[in-house]
Amino acid sequence: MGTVVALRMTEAAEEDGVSEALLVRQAKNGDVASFETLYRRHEGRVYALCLRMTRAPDRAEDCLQEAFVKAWRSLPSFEGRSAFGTWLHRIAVNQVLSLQRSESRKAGFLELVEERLEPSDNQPAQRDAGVEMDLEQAIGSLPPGARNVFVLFAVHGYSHDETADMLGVAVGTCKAQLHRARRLLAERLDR
Amino acid sequence: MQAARRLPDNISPRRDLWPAIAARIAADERQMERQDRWRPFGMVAAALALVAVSSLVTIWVTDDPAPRVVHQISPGGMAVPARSAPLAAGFGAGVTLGPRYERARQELTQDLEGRLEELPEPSRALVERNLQQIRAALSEINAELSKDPNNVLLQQLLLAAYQDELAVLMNVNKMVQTLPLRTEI
Amino acid sequence: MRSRFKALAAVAAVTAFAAGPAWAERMVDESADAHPRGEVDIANTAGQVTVTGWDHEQVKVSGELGAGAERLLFEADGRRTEIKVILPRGSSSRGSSDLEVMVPKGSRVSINGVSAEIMIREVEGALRLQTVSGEIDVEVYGEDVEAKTVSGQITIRGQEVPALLVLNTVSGDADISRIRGELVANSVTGDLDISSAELARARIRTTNGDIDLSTGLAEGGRVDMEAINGDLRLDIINDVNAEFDIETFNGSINNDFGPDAEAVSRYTPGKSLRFTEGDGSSRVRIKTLNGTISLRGR
Repeated sequence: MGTVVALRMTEAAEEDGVSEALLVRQAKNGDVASFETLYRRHEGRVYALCLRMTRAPDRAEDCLQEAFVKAWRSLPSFEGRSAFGTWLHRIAVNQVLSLQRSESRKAGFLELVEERLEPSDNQPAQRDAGVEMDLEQAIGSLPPGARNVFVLFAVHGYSHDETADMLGVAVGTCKAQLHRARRLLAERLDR
Repeated sequence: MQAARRLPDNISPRRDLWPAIAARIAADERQMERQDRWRPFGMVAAALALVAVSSLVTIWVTDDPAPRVVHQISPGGMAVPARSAPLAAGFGAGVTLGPRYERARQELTQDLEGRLEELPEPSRALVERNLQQIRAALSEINAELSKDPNNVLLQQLLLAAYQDELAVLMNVNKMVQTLPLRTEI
Repeated sequence: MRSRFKALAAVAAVTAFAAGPAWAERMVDESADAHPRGEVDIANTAGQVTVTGWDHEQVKVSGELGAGAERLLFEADGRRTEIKVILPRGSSSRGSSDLEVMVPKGSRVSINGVSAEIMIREVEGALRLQTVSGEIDVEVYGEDVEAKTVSGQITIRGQEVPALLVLNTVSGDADISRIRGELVANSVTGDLDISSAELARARIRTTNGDIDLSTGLAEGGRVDMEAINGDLRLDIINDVNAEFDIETFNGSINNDFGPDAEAVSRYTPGKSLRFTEGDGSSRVRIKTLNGTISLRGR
């Protein structure tokens, strides 16, 4: 009985394909095929971001789609001053934030309730990653402000400045939320 | 918090969301006629065809030590069976090509069947001869792989040869579609 | 023979041009204003298509329509010019038409032919060229170029300016020189001969042809050469700072520098060569099933 390992060759494609700068240039010229390649290269990271911030695959998929459609529309204004991936993440984060804002408008008190519950619609089960599973669940259970900061800073590696900028908050607020996230996570993981 | 850093920052969505995105972009484009666009299929279509092809191939590798052919898939036959024998698409013992790849390959082969008629005869024969060469190469590599299924070089070259075949099918297909042979009144 | 027809045309220019006998050759002379960076699309099934860039904001076509060509389509809206040799429907005409086209040098040009021979000089915009059995002979500048043939030979001369060059041929040979930037080249049985002062990225594949690449490697550059049955040669002309991953299934590896290639196993004739030279900032990958790999450099 052998184990089955799927090798996705998209990584190989990234390695020896066309450089990103040229793809972006072509996409800016209106070439949808180039934009699709950029999509394939970035969908995983953008989705991971959306998924952890929204905690629901449905919502994450919506945010991912919206983000890329918006990115296509905003391409003319992308100057290349930041990395394309970072620019994409910014757009995705904005999507998530507006989704969170509209949800909180609808169900303000539900959020308080959710803080106390464990979310059940998180990542697919990984039987052999006990700690990871707990950590993912714990992150999912954080209140949105703290969760957003934690996902961007601790999981995706953005700096304090970048995280604050993407979320549209002051750096001080960002640090405070991060502190809160750590404290809550420590509490919930130690249980 | 180091544990957080180790969490995967790259997760695949459950399904392919590109078609929906492409549809919305197309709807946009129809609304705002971009004057400056370079059409129809973009400057780097050839390079992208190759990159896109890579993502079509999902290789399932079993480390089952008993060599056996798991799956034989034959593509649609060529228009002139006498010239090219159907090929069983395989990856050597214990390895198969993913369903999306097979579908693309079969569709393209069938499309090309019809289109080749529109090429001038010497070129048509040339395309078929060259596709035969690729398929002979595929057979050779498959044969070697069945003797040495874990050989990484062979797997890589086989993948490359399949990509080459697909790229030729796509390129010749597109070429024939856009040939200035017919005339509009 | 020809000059007689030309004399006839000169004598009765208007009528000869407008309603000459279908079998006569006809002169072409059209022009229109054009944006300096506009689009020019040319289609000609057979014959010569020569495009030259100039400083006027105008597209001008001259030449001869061959026997069997119905007419020349020439449409210009100031931003896009379309030039097409129209053949009668269902035509199996062997006639060919020759076109000489002058375009603003910043134009983007696309040319589509079957046996048409394509030549381009001094056009600096992006090029998209396709011909089945004709040859492609072009100068490229800093914009992207895509060239496809089935059996036609491809000759490309760059101007030492970085750009993206994408070539696809089935059996045509390709001769590429003085380019920079990025190159993607594929052939099934054609031989590919490339020289460059410096490439950032090169991805060159053939099934049964040979590849000869002489280039400098940009820092962080990547070269990927692959053949199934073919000989591969890489000559690095600047300082070597690269990580090498070179392997054959059946064939020898000859290298000027670095360690000796090792046999992959006692049972197969293949060789492998993996090492780092200099600061290893570039990556070079060369693989073949049956063939010889040569690695040259300083």
